[in-house]
Amino acid sequence: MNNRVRLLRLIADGKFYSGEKLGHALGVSRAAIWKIINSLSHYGLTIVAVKGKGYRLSRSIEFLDKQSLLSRIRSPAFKILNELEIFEEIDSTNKYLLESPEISDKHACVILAEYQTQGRGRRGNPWISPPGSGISLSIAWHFEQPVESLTCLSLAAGSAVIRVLTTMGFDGIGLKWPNDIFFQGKKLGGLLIEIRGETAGPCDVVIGLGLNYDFPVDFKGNIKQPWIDLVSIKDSTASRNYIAAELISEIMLLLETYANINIEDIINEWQQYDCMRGKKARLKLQGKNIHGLVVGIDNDGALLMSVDNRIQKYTAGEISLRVES
Amino acid sequence: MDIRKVKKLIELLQESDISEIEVHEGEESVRISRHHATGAHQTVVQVPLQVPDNIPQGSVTPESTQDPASAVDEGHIVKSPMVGIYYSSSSPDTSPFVEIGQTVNKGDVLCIVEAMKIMNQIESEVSGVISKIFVENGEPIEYGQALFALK
Repeated sequence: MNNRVRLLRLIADGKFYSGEKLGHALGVSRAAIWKIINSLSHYGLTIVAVKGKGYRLSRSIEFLDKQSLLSRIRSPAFKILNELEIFEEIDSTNKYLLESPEISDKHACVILAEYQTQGRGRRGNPWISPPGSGISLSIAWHFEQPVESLTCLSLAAGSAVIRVLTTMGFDGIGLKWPNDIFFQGKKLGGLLIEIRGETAGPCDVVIGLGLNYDFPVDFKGNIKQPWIDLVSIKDSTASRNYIAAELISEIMLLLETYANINIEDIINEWQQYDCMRGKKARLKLQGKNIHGLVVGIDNDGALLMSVDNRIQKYTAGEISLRVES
Repeated sequence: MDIRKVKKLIELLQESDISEIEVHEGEESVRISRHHATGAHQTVVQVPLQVPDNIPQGSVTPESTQDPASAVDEGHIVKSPMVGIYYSSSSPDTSPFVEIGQTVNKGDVLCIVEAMKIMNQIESEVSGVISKIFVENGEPIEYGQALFALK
């Protein structure tokens, strides 16, 4: 554990700590502590410094805990869990699993990270989340079916996240096609599914989830759209470890039963959470902007948009929907 | 139908706001659409194949003429497992996974095909040298469409 991580753990409760006390705990000078504190802002954390009192985090951090997660993962999911690892810092949890040479043997494997240096969304879009402020996890799953049968997994995984949040008392959280998680027009989270496999044979699926849990006050990170975190939606938010464990359970159980789920049921459930229906939107497709009205999804899960009074169907492409004001 | 007539129709479509034209002439018909079923913008011409009755079945092999890959011996052909968009690299600002002349091993990632925000990394089923790339970055592709030839 490096000094930055050690210091962050020391001040995680959000109370004031003097530079002297911290220096003593880490065995470094006060000047060195000041340097580390300063570096935390590069990670998107906000530090309050008061003369005579010391430093404190703008918000306390609940770190992920392996034992706590394992004890909370529901037993049907726990039984099929092969490996669970928490990284203090990693480039990307999805990348780690996808590039793992023995990925097929890792079924089912869960990777979580307190901080991702290169958290990723679709087509190189960055996923930004300061240390300990979000839930960033990836699940690796081996499928015997070819990829062709997995296209609706995108929708089903989005619905699984909404189910968990609804059970925890979060109302009004919806999905933007196919699986961006939204609250009142602000982005709360998203999923990125990546698959490795030969064209006709079995494949390895990695489902990555990023969810904003509790962001620092005055967070100044470079997120290029309106966003929100869970604690801002509801006063008494369940613990980070508990929500993470529930999300892992729900997504694992979805993967376990996916082959037997009716596509129709997936479509029907997804439609209940559709937060874009009837809204004007812009769709970026291969460098072009298409303006239209979101109609919903069709029986295969494809996006339907009314463009120039004609219903068009979209299944892939440079898709980014933004509500137009 | 006269090819010049089809060409004229395409021009007509391009000049206007109309997204689809369908013309019937006796037993022949042609439908020209700006919008492909996958959502990509392209012009699709569908002309029914006219086969005279006196030609015996089997002498027409449309597959070998439609699939550029199987027309000549290109070696091993990697085909798309799904309908989607073809990407040659992992993100817009990174270099392509493979280029013509490159040696690849079995299991190496050749490209990404996206459908419904699922990014599918296509692995090579064999080891060999990339002799041909049939598709362009960002191009919509069909199920079973030839992507690469390996020798």
